[in-house]
Amino acid sequence: MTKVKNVELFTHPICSGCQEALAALRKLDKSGIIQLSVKSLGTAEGRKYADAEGITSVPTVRFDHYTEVLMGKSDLNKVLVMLESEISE
Amino acid sequence: MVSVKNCLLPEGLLYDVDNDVWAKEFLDGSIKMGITDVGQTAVGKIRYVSFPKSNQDRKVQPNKSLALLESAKWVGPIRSPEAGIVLARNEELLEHPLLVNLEPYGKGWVIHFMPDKPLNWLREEAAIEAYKKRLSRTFRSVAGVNDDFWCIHCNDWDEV
Repeated sequence: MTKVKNVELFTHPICSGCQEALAALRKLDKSGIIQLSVKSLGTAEGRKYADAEGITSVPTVRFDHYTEVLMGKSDLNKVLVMLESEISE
Repeated sequence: MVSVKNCLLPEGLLYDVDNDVWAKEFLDGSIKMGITDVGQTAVGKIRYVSFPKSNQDRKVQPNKSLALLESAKWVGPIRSPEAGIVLARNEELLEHPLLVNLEPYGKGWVIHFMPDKPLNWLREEAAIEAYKKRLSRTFRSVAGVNDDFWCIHCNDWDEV
């Protein structure tokens, strides 16, 4: 049985791509494929965590030792394929 | 490039720290202006940019609105720092206002202006110190970024 992957998504209220990334990853979370943790840089706690982790741009996705700054839909799709394919293996 | 609380402050620019406006000087004395990284984060996603027609092809007095920027919860002008003439407006912002957020010092410039006299705005270390002082205080923005203010840089998706 494949272990559910812990995925972190860094977001911010003014970010246009964050909502789309959040919606896509929430689907995987609901399907039980991943366990999603959202870190909003709109909160002091989220900023402190992001600062410590060196995250300065949103949306950014992180899992295992992999970090992807999402620059557009193609990056999001790439991450989704990675997450889904690991589960189907 | 210097950063204060993750807010980028490029060297070589002049800053009106209180109003979050930057200016780049050209050899002919003209300046390009836009809003700073702090400004774009504080007001949130810019949805509309407009330019008053009354300023077209005539001299404007100090403190007149040269452009109006509008986000979901904020409307604010960029004002003439001195008397002068508007040389150009960044009309790309009419269709792509989000450029102000994505590239505040680049494609997000707002107004090219010829002031009658040089600006006495802060530059370099003085501007950085002023921003450090300002950002050390409790901050209230309309974009959901409060207290411990920290600039954010959002990536481009489909809107530009």
